[in-house]
Amino acid sequence: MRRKQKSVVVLTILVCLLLVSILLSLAYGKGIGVMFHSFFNNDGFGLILRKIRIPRTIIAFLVGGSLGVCGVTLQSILRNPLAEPYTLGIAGGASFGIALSTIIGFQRIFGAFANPLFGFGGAMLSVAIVFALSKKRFFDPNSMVLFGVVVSLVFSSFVFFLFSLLDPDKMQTTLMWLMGDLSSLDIAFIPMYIPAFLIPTSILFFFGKELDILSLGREKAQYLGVNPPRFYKGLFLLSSLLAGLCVSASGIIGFVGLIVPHILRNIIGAGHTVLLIASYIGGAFFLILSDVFSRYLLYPVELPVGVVTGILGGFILLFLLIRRK
Amino acid sequence: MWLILVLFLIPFSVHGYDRIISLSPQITESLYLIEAAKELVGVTEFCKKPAEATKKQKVGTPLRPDVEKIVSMRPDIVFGTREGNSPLVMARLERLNIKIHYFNRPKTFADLMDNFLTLSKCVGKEEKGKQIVNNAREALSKLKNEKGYRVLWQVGADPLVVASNNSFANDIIVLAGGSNIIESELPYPRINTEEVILKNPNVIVLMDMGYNVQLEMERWKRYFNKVKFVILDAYSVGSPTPVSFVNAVKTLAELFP
Amino acid sequence: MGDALFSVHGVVFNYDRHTAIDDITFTVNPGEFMGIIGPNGAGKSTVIRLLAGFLKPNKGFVAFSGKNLDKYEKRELAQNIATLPQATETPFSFTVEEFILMGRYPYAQKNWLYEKKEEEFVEYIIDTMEISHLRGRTIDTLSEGERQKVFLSQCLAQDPKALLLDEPVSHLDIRHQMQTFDVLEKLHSEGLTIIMVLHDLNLAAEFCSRLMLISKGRINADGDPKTVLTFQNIEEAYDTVVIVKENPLSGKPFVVPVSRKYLGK
Repeated sequence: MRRKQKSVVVLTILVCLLLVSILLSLAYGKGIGVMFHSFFNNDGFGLILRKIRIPRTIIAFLVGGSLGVCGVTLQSILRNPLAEPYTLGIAGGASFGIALSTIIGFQRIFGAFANPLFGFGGAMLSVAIVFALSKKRFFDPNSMVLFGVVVSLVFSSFVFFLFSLLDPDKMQTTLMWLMGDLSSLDIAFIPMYIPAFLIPTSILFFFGKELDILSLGREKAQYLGVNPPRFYKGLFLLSSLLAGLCVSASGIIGFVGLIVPHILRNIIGAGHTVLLIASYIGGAFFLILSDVFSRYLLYPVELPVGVVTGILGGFILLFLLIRRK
Repeated sequence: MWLILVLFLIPFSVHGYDRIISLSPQITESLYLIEAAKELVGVTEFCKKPAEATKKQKVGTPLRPDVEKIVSMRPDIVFGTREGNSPLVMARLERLNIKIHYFNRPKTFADLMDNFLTLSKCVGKEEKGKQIVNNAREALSKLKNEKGYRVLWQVGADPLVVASNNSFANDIIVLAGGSNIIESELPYPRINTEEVILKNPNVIVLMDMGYNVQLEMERWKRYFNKVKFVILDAYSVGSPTPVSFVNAVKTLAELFP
Repeated sequence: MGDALFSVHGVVFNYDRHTAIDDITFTVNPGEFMGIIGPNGAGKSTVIRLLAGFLKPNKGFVAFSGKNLDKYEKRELAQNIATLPQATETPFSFTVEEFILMGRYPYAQKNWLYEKKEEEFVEYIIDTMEISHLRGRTIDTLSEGERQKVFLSQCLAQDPKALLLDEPVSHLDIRHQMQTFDVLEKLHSEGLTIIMVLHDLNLAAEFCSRLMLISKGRINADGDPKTVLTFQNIEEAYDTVVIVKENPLSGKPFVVPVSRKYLGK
């Protein structure tokens, strides 16, 4: 049982890394002492800390962790290590929702709630369509992916259609938000988002054994006592819900859900029970760190965090692929 | 030297056109200012100022002008911009022997004035053009410089995008006696909110376009309790004429008399 | 036949329009070692999938221990029947231990981790299958023969009453084929019921106590190897000329196909 000890070691290291990234995100440029002092005092940095850095770190934590867990879940069900949280067409649906709300001008009515609300609504719409289509196929993973790709394409075309009607200035804002953005979420969302994110995630944590078995394919999974259609349905729904929440909170942040499970699988092995937790911590760490880069690399100019995860993640993935052969 | 001067003068030597198409809201508005709108036959969907302009025939959006429509309208001249119009569409128009005059997007107040004068010469309304430009210069010279207040000019929300000291908007700030708190090589950078809080602006300029101004004001009030807000018409800043430019400067300057 | 382990009655199964199984009826008693043989496309794998409950008959029923398969919970069924399909693949590098532990899923509590006693059972399986040297390896690094042992171990971890195998040895060399059959015979002698699809008629004759020859979705012959493997039966099912002889050591029949070039002389 050497793998178990290794898991404990790796998890401990991951938690330490996560804590370091959180401290970095909160105390960057100020030091930990100042941070704690300012937290309890109403000075200038205290304001920044409480109103900007803490909420932002919380969202990066929730989104990063959820993307990691979604990635693991979908990779197992689809039996494809390259699957990621947006595989089922969620990104297309969310973009459509937001483009629609921009063109109709819902921001004027819903204010800060417009993007999160319509992003989530669009994502859930695409999931609902994929589900309706998959029902006849008993939620067969391969047909679900196919439906997801098609639905995503159709929605993307609608997005381009809407963009061709939009004023370029408005279009720019929408595009930038879609590229991944942790900066603009309203603090008012946080009390709502914490349970909304944590409940589906903690349910997913309990399906490690089933994910192990589902990765052997539908037939073998059934022989081992799992009822695949039921789990496909439930797990897809949970992970889509999470991915939809992620999009609604921060736009489309690529690579986290792909690369974090990939790297951790190489380190701690394929067992999903541990991998789920490790990917949650790893995803949160990776996104918080990427966000620190996006905030301070070219300070005061901010980079879109999706660009940072893409570049950082892309290089790590390439490195791993080259090293393997 | 002579040759350049001669070449420079050729386009302006033929005074007056009978059928003008404008592919930029800014040019459309300017043509009305110099009273050359009678000859204007086609405008874009986005040309909304002055209100009369919306009654003119539409030839698509600035990004995608409608080639067939333009050709069928037999214009003497098309006024376009290098930055705002699709280069592919413009190239097609050129191949169809449509005469096009390009303006560059103004980067400074001086550019704006130059463009305006060029346009008025082009359509044979040089006198009117000069008059407007002089009025604008005069109005600006009356304003006090260097009042020392700090301005944040917000271009976009979600994510926060602002106009830096390298933007066109910066001229409005400076001429109104303020200083831009955001310095960057990029004209419109995406900016970290922390920087705004640290620089503590006196004035936040919001533009009524693309984002919810009311909501942004509430957001900023969480950090600053004494900040003043100015809401500018995005149209007059994004597609300025000498007149709208001066109005914007005045609005800002009036905050700190 | 109330004590039959499997009873298949009047089963018809269609894939879309194509009828794969056309009204078959048979029973399997506890402790049998049964081989299902027949030409490609005869419906052998379909029979295994029907017995395992993966496919549901369009007509008729399949019962295990006198209870219709439909009435079983998936976990309960997995405690009784272990099935090794033709191809089991996963893109992930599970360790041998993790992989075998999945066989304990039907018994595991709905907890976060497997319990100590499940791990102990896996230890026991690893010992009986003599694969403790593979324990820490990941399954993607194993040879075909080693992997087959691990797959079998996973099935045995289910502690089943019946073991269903779909061509378990067709991709193995003869040494690993013999090793696999040795293990299966040992398990059979300990009381496990084994039903397997086999391609190789001679292996089937040698190890199975009962053979069922099916062709075009129907049962052509059913009984001990000697009565099933007659040249008439084989020529009818496979449409191929064969010679059937007797293995001098075991006394079981063995089949030699006859090439076309010797025919018509």
